Amino acid sequence: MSWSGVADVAGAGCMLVGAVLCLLAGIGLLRLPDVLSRMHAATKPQSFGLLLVLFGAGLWLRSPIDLCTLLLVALFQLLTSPVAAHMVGRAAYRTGRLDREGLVRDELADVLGAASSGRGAEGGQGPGEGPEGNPRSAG
Amino acid sequence: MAVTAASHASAFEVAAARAPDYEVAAVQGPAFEVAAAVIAGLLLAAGLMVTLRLVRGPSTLDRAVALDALVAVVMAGIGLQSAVRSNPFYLPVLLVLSFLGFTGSVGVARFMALRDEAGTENVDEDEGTGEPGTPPEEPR
Repeated sequence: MSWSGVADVAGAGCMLVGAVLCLLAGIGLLRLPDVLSRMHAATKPQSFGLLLVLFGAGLWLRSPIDLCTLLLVALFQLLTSPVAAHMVGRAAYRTGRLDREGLVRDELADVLGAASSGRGAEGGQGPGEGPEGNPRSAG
Repeated sequence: MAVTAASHASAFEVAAARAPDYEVAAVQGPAFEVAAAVIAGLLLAAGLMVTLRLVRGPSTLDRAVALDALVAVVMAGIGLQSAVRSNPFYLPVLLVLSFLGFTGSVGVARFMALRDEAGTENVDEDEGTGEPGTPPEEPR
């Protein structure tokens, strides 16, 4: 088998695995219960599945300009998707849309509790503010 | 004049010699067509499921996550299409889509955070996914 034949088969395999990862992300998005676990499912095609598909497409295209474009796409995707996931996860935590019974350990709540207690000690925070007022204002 | 014509002819010959190589290399043979159809079917099923979550998602953040996943699936589909047709015309669209999904998701998340800091809580329907904030028996 020639070099191009090997590249064709490898590209088809890579794209197949990437498409399977996309399908798994779809199933996970449908079945998982809350925002954070859905993010866990949704980041699979964003990083690894898309990288596999782009690698497979590069193995089929085999032109240097196309390879550079695909490399740029992969680089931007790897740069931007963690930022978006961080923002979405932060907003999900702050608005309380998470399954607290499913959490094994919530370190952010400890940190926010310590920050809000220190803030209440120095600022004279009233007790009528409610427990959720402190972590949001603590930033 | 003759020099440029000759150079054009040589370039055309190079392109003509290169084109069948692409044709042979890219998607010749029924096995690759079947593989491309299977991959397209998987991506289509994934896109349908993600779209279902996008429609049904109880909160805006669910929809933002589903929209990110949908953008990723569409990018994979465009990559597959470019590879099968061996046509790199749509590859810059991948770059644009990468930035577009990023800005959309960040904007939605930031908008949620700002609206939450403005004091209007539970703007989406709350389906009992958890009470807002920390539990009230917090020691201080």
